[in-house]
Amino acid sequence: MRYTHGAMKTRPASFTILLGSIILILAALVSISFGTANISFTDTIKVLVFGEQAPDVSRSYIYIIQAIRIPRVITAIIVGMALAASGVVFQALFRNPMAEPFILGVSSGAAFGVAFGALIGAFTLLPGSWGIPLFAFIGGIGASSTIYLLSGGMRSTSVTLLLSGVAMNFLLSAMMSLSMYFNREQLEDIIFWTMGSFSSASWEKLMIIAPVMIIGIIILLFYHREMDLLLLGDEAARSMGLSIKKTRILLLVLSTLLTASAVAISGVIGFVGLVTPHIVRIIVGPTHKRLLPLAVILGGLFTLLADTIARGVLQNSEIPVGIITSMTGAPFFIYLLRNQKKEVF
Amino acid sequence: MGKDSMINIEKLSWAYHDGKPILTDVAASIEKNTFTTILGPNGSGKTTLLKQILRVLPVAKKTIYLNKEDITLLNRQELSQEIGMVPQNERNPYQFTVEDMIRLGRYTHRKQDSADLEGSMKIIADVMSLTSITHLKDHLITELSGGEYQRVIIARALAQEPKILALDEPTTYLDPKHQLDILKLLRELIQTEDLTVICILHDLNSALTFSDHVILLHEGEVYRHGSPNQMLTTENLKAVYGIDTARIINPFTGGPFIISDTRS
Repeated sequence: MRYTHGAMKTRPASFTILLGSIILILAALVSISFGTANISFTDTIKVLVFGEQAPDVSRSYIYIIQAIRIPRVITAIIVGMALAASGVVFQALFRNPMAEPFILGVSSGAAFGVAFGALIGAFTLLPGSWGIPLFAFIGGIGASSTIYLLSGGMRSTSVTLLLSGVAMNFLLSAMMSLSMYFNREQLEDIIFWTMGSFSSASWEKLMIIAPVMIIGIIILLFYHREMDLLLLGDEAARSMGLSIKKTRILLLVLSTLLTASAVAISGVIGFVGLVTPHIVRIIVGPTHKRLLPLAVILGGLFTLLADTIARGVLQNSEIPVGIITSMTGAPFFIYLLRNQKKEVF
Repeated sequence: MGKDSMINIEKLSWAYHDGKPILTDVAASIEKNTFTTILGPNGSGKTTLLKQILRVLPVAKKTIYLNKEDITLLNRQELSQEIGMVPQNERNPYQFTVEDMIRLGRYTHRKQDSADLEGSMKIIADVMSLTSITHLKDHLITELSGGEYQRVIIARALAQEPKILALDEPTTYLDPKHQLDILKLLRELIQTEDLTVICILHDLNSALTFSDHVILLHEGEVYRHGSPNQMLTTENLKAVYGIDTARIINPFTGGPFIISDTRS
């Protein structure tokens, strides 16, 4: 596959980022006006502009838009952004285009953390609003550091890395089944974590988790050079002045934090971190200064579209959004695997 | 030569985790503004020695001194502004443009660059022109030939504005024309940029022609070190490589040229 992103060089990356942001905002507006309650696009805009005082719009419509649809759309976007950012970071950390929080079992680790918390009754003691993210993070960091050690860190080949991920996912799914077995009355809640959905999105959850994700993404944006250097390998990066260990730990913790926050609010949504960075790399190349912000925007767009489809496909109910992203992501994963020449990006 | 010593190596030993020794009691010094070649058979510890000097492998305290200072006391940033590395056979699958790749060399100066963007752009332009790759600026590194790629890596190391350039077999995978180009470029950089070059080479005649000083490694120890003329003798080469060689006169330069007995 030979391509130049030379075309992009003539336009500054900021143009692409601006264009992406505009598309994302428009898509969000359309998505807000879309749903079971048949609210027109103009009514939606009225509510967005005038709030409670929107003229000629029924109270129930105002409520639906303000309390249900807006937080849901924002959640979908921000979760997609966090997962895409996390995918970009994992790929740089492991120097491998197939690395992704879901494939490596980090998402499942976070979900298991939550299931385990529920099992030991932690959420009756801790408020769920931050107890859940906390347990998701503990589970996620356990999984990501185990994968890191198992696969031999930066020296990992695709095979060892992916097999470590497979092993991790098997282990976690067994542990998840065990916790479901002991916790039969909460079966449905636990299954929710494994399928992923934005249906329980609310302002309340968003207020706690969104700041974590936004700050996490902003910090990562400042580490674009470090991620570039990691691609060159340990020794080259060191010789160019990078403190490898410090950088790796920081990036691993931040990307795990993003994944865990996403899982805490919406369960396991796979493949976003795989699909979006790859597409963006084709457009702007591997330089993280351009790759990361654009992957973040596209990640938000991807989950937003997937959720809009998830809400619209069935007449009177919805399907978990994780199913949609996996159905698009898994074939993409196979395509990447087949196209992989030796160990290349 | 009597110039200032830049790097001093004393009692340097290094072994892998399994205890297999790679370097034993190495002592050497590298003088400022010279071309020092590390020469020796495969497995004699050349790359390990170079990586020790660069401290990309763990280094024991009080073994390597840079300007009389123990290099283990320097941080990564300080060290990367002293020595730039051109690794052996680096070939990346990532589709960086040449310019983006070279800009990575500016990482160590990122603070200063954020205040002086123009200055940083000028340095990137300068190192591209020094290495004659300005015309490749927007090309993808994946599309370069071996010789072009090697120049990009040298430019990236130069962008660090180091005082020393450490290169691991920069010519091994190149055709004769490009080998010559790279070696001439290194000599030129010593002159014009006041650089010091430490270079691992395999080609005896390149070492003989281009270096000022040769460190001859044999089974992890310094067999001898000195001027190329004194080091690359029939006896030394027999002892270190186990090959029979003779010297003839290079008709182009009138200088010595090493030939080896290909019958044995």
